[in-house]
Amino acid sequence: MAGERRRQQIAYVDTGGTFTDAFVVDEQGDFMVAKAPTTKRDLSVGFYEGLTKAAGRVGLTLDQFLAELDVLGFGTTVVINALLTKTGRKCGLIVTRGQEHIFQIGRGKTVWVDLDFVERIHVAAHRSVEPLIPLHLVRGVTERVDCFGQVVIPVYEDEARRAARELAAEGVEAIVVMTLWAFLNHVNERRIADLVGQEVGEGVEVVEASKVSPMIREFSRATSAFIQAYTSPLLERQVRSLQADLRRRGFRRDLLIMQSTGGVVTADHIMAVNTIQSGPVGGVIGARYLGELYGYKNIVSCDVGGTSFDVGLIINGEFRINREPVVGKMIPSVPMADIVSIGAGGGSIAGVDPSTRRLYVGPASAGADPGPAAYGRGGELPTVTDADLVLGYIDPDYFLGGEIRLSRELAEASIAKHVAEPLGLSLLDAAHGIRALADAHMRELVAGALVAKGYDVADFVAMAFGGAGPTHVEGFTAGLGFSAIFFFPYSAAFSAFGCAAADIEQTMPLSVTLVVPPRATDAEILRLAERLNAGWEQLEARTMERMEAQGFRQSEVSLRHTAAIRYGRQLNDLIIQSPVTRICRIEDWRALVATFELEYEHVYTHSAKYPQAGYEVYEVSVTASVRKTKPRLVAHPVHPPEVASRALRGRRQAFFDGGPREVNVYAMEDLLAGSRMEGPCLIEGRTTTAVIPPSHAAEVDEYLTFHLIRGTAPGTR
Amino acid sequence: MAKIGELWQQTQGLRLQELVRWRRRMVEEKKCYTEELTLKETDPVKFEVLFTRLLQSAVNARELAKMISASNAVREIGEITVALYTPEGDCVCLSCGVLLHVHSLSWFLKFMMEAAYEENPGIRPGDIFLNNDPHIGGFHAPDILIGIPIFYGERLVGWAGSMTHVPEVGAVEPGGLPASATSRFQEGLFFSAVKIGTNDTLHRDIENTIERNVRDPSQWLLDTRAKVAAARHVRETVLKLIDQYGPEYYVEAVQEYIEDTRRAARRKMARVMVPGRYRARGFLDGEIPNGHQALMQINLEVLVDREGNVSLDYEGTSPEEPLPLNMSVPATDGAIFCNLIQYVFYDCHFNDGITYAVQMKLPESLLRCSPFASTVGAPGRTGGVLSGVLTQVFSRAYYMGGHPDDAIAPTPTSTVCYKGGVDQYGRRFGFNHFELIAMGTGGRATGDGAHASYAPFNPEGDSGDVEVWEREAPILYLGRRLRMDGGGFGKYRGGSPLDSLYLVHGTRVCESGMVSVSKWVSANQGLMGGYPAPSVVFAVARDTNIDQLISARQPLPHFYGDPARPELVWRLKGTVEPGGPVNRPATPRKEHDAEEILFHSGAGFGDPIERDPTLVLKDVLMETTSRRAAEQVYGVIIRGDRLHPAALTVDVEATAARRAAIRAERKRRGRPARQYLAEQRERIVRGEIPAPAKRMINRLLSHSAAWAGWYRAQWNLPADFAQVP
Repeated sequence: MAGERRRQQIAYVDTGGTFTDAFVVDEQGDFMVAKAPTTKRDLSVGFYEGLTKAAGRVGLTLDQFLAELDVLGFGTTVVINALLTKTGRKCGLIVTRGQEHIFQIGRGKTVWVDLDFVERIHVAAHRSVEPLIPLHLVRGVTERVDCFGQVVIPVYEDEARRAARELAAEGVEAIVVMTLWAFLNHVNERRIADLVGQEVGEGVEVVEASKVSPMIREFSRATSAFIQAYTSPLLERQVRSLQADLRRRGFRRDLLIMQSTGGVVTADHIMAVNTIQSGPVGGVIGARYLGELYGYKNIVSCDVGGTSFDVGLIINGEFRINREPVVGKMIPSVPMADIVSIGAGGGSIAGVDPSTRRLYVGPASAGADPGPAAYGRGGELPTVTDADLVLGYIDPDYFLGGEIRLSRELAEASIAKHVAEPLGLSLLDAAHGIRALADAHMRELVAGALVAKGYDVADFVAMAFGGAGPTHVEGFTAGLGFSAIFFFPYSAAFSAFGCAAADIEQTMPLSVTLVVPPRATDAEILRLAERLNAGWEQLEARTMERMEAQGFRQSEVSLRHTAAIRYGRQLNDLIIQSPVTRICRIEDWRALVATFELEYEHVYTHSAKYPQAGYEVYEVSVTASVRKTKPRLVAHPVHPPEVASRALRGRRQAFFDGGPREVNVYAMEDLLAGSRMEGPCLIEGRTTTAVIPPSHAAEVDEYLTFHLIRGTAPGTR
Repeated sequence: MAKIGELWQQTQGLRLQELVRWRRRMVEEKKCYTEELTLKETDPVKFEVLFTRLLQSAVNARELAKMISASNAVREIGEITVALYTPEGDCVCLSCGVLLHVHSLSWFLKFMMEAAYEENPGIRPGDIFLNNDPHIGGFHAPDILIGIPIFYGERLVGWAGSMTHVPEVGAVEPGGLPASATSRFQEGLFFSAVKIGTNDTLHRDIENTIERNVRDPSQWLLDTRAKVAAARHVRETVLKLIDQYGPEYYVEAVQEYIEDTRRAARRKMARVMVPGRYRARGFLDGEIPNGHQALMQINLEVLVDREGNVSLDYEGTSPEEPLPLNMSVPATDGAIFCNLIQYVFYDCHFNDGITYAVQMKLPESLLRCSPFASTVGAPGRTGGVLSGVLTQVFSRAYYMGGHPDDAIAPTPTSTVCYKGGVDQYGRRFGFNHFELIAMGTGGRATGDGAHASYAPFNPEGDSGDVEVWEREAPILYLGRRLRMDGGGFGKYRGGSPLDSLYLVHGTRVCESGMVSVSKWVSANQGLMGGYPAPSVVFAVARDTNIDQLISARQPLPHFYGDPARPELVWRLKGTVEPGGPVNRPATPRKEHDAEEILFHSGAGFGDPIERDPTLVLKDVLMETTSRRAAEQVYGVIIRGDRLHPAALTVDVEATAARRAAIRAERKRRGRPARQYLAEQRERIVRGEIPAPAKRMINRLLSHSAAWAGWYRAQWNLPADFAQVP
């Protein structure tokens, strides 16, 4: 089909800390990735540069390229950047009187929540966090609602009016109103917001916390509302101007914005707080999407980056949601894809502890600057990347496709000085030790995500990505017993690929209070369950309203209902995909509880069940989604395994079986479907290198996805 | 160099009782846990990778248990620990969490083996053992420990253990820490190292006993499931690792991990501590149910030598009292271990190697009370003071040794308010209000302490959310804020704890009590001129007019306010006790009775008049330092009358003058040490000292000959001086 140009169909632009990746899919499903430096002062510069590069590769101008696209998505970091650089709006806060110190107390755990294991225990390392809103911009208003939503103290209206006037006089641009239990009954919070609105006029935005996040835990709810109030104009300005500019250039559709929950929404309907961390979720969505293609419903996504190793779980085709994510030192109540992380990646620093005289790797990272010792940018401490280089896995002249030249001498000197000599090891043994320990840390995180939660690893497949994913995939999956292990030539841009595969989605959670005592009668249960029904009904209306505002018809939208259930007095719950959308008969309740019991038993074992305690439901949610056009993986003709030899780039020495061995090096991008490479060997791509140890092999399937095979028999995957 | 497999052979066929004794003998004779580190030296990477995997299994298991648990202490403040033990019951590695119980769990495991449980009731694969007897292991009845054996084939290769604090154990009062208890027999349902399950299944008869003997059994029973699940996770991980590494390698490795930590601990001591003899004291006060006001001291002498050998001697600590503040030996041991990890050995791959690195002398006293009758219901308060005393010693040593970043003033103790009755959902309940672990950390040599985020027994402190506490118990907050002047003053001040004020709300039946110390006497001093933190306050207002105030839209109390005129007193009409006893047995509450707690916190570091005035101003703006303290304690004159950064400024000249005046006043009040000592001696001889202090000294003079000798020498008293008159 040479000479026949394919139409570019989907583009997704993912803003990272260092690079902005433009991931583009054509009508045949082939991908390309274009990289541009991230320009923090104006993210649109990197956005356009990435797209322009991609357009150039297919011989188009940017405008021609945009005119062809069906879907254009954007993962923006404008919200998190504004929080980190403190460049948002001046905000005031009005809270239930007596709670004025809410941001100064900061839930205590904000002092240590982002510290590593040792620093958490080392009390002298603990520091208080600056409040999100200084106390002189905080006012209290007397009012109270209790845990059943009953008004115990009505609003003292004079106080509300005075608070509004005082904050307006301070020149605030937005006022957050947060009262206790307003997510159950917002009458007081809304009344205060109305009074404030009357006092301050239209120049000051009033943000009701329970509207932003109708969830229990006032500190997290106030944090979410603050993020929304503080950053929303910046996000709106960015997406509006981008949207307008894109239309001028010929893009005919709505720009889609990635959310932390894993879905995209049209730019006009984005809430700033929902974009606080949209990057990591891309990998999980990508893994889920590929799982659909391959027929896997249980997947572990493993993202090995420069500074962290992120693991996400997909169970029965759904990824887990974390309702109290930690973002820096903040704990907003924003549902996000549940991703567990440790400080382990290419940049993780290794050394020997002076007290224990034992090897350590991470959690500190050399980052991109100064980076590993081999970068030659002043980093003196050895990292995992230095170890991979010394072991011969990474080609110093072909790191990131040759964009960064590495110095093997600097890496060797650093490992010799900081690890080999203190431990009395040879250089290679020391480098191998660094790698082995990094792999062990990652492996245990994967094991913890599965085994510690009661899952059988054999029911799962692993998908490894991120720049160093294929380099370490064997190490962090060794012995766990996954049914299949995948890695990808586009590993470094996998998150962008995932974002391109995201559906249009709105997830709305709501805190409720439903306590079903142990010996409740059917009539009591049905009466109590009305709270559940009311919650779902409210959420259905709100999610549909959002979807309709984005131009979708009711018939296009599918709804999923969940309930977070626990035994009586238990402190954590399981989010259950409800088999029913209302509890109208006792059988409906029993069906819901039976689903919970089954899942509970699966996760925590039969002996951990305790139905005698009754049941409690404190949260319900509804997810509305509309499927959109996605990247399509193209099936390629499958060749005999020996076709791999055509992609043989050469041979070089690398560390296997305790010493250096001469091994094959294959060009990743040149490998055809059906290729099989026996370990030990290396498979080098432009942005990643796969390490295949002895007694292992790698096979390329019809979608050009790589399978890591344990054992040497062909076709054992 | 020892060969792999020697230990496996050497201990082959030993009964568990013999194994425990063999190890003890070996440690005593060889002064180490094992003589050589063969595995570490031959392949340090393999050695480290196995440790990483064992440690992570404990960390993962803790997360698993948190998901199943029902105790608010677990979810809100993370009070749960999971650990792996050697066959003889020494800790190899542990998750974070409540570090107190790691070594006390070791006591429980050793107790069973030494008591020949192997023969009766038997220790077999799939068995589950439970203990909440603090003289066997743990702190007090609510600390419920689970231990399960790990068998590889027929050979015991280790133990997995877990602990949570369960708020309701069927004591004479709800909530597990009865302030009124004067003996062990009022503290609840005890299981003294009992087999509660076989084949990984809990015995129904045991569950029935718990269901029928505590107010709210679901917490105990769900937590037991959580701990068993966690321990089983550790067990299964260990068995897989043994398959991979071989049993000979595994048993050798775990003993090397302990020895390696022991050596690392000694090296660290030698590196950071200035050799010498250090002394420190801490104090506890409390109301004995018979009406006495008791004052007790914890006396510590620490000896550090050049090789990093450390010994702790508690001779001179007060004898036990009929108060729930006494401690069992495992509890004291646990408190010391907990402190050593947080303040000294945090980076030493901590495990029981630490306990083998430190020698300890524990005389009969409130730290080593009688095992059969004494009450030990709330030893966390004593443990906090004990920990604070150690912190003082180590911080002084750090400071002298040129490690100021690690020097920190102590956070001494904690305060528990408890409730029981019928909750807002109509269920029986017993509740500990775990805001107690949101204390401040002490001031440091290089900066201020952190606010509301710490307890001596758990470095991962958390205040929890008001809405969650209101969901857990029938209460309704009127206010929660950082306590004004709540941290000890200093050049670097301690962090503030909480000031919480709430109403009893939504219950027909409720009783409420509190257990604490430090009402009159500061538990621990500040460092280098820093002040101790202020004392604990527990205020109660009954039968008030609060509902009328609400109807009339009148102002309500929201925090303590001026100590000379607390808000509860001047805003409410009714029976108001603004500062009653802090060790107060439960009494009934009615709807909308009010309670307020001002918690204890970290002490200050350095002289307050050396504090940067701009930091004082910042604290004034944060409402954590009062204007009065700014002027009187810090000597900082702030101008302006509105609490606003644009309205308040430091008057530099007036501040300099005020500080000069404070220095002059200090000089005026000061006397030569000899003169001061002579005056104090006269007071002692004439008996002109406060009654609680006199009682404490006289009890000590009778109780400890060594301390009596020191006291007489210190005050130049005659050899026959037996009692303060």
